[in-house]
Amino acid sequence: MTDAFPSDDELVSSYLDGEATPSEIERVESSPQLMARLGEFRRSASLMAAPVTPLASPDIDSLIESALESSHTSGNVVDLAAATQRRWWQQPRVLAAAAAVALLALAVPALRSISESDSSADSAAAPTGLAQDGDAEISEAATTTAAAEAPLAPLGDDSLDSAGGSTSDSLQSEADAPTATTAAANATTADFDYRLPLTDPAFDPLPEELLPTTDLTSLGTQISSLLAEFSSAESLPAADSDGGRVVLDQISPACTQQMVDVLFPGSNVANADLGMVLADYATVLVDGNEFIVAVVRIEDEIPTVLAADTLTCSTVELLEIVP
Amino acid sequence: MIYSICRRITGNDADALDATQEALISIVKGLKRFDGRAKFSTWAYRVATNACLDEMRRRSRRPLPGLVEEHTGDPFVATSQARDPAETVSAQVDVDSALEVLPEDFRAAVVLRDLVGLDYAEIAQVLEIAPGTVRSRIARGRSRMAEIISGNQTPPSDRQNSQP
Repeated sequence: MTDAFPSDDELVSSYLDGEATPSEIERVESSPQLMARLGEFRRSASLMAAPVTPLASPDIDSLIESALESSHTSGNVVDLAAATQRRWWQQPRVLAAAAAVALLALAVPALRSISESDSSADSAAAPTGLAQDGDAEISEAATTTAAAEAPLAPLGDDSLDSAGGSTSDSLQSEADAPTATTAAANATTADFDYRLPLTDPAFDPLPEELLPTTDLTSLGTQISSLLAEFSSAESLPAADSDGGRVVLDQISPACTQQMVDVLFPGSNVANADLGMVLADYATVLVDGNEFIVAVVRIEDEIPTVLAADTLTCSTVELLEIVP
Repeated sequence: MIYSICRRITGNDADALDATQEALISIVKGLKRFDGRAKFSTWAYRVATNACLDEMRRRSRRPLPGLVEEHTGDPFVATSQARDPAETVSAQVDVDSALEVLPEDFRAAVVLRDLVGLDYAEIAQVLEIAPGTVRSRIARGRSRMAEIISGNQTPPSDRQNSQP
């Protein structure tokens, strides 16, 4: 189709759109052939510019209503194909990790809005200023032994990209956001019913704001450095034997159930006593999209670090840490 | 305007409605990520255009019932069922049919230019391509449209093959 494209058509088209250079304008206006072609293009453009029959008012209302409803139920794009192929994921404790991320993906954005004015929220995590000092800290941490590997599963879904650009604004108020402990206390009055504490205050390797990265591989490297000093079992704080159990069916099925379905087809982990500790978490921008990084610990291990897109719940295993 | 874009790009009411719905959902969900670096309208047009292109790709994987019936006779003369004012212009040219022969990338650029009135820089932002590519796509789209309008159109039976 494009083989027969007349070379001067681009010139004429640009002229029509007022995008031609002075020399191009002169060339078009001095050529009867090009001016004739311009007439044809004008006709085409006028046809295209004809208004479309507007939608009926009820149709518009319906479209808007549906769109607004969707914002409450969340689109659930879970891209875990790579993760599901790994036998490690089939272990029960990983169910706990997935549950924790699902919980965070739902709870943190909601609770952030709940406690916008809660300037006295628990600030046990590292200061957000680490974002500026992060390079030095990572560098220092990287000098220690890093047992963690970063088997990164790429996020294959681009649906968020289609929603436009990204922003760092969403993280600017992170210092005011509650920790999971405070958040959970608030959340138990709403839809969430998980047991405290979700975070272990003695284990706090992550700043609340990680350095924005362009991809998950870079994020994995960053997390790996931050966790390097915790890579041996001896360095871990004592586990909270009572903490972190998640009752999945208390979480909005909009995100959780689909995640479970994709991750563990046929599995029923609802109401499971998963006996795990969400050791720490942080938010980070990856290529402009906000992610939650969850460090999930079971007993004296850090079995995994997961990253979940806060908007889509798309989740990947970021690091598998074997002390 | 979002519906208008979708109507022109998809070429029919049903797909336009679906695409518009998807676009609105994406806009609502993505609002928190709108960072103000572009105009909101530019961002929304991008969302809408992507939704339309996605809808067309989905459509290309489905059968096209009714295509033959809709386009019997001169495909570029409006059908009796046409409701769009553009389909009743004096030249009786079926804009939808004419657009249908354009590759979707060209179609999107032409629609954004001639229907929405964006300049090349804005279209480049919406489509996330270089301004030079915008210029080329619009020109190629118009060139093809001019062929169609002048009667040198691709037969309807070949139109599906002309899709990328």
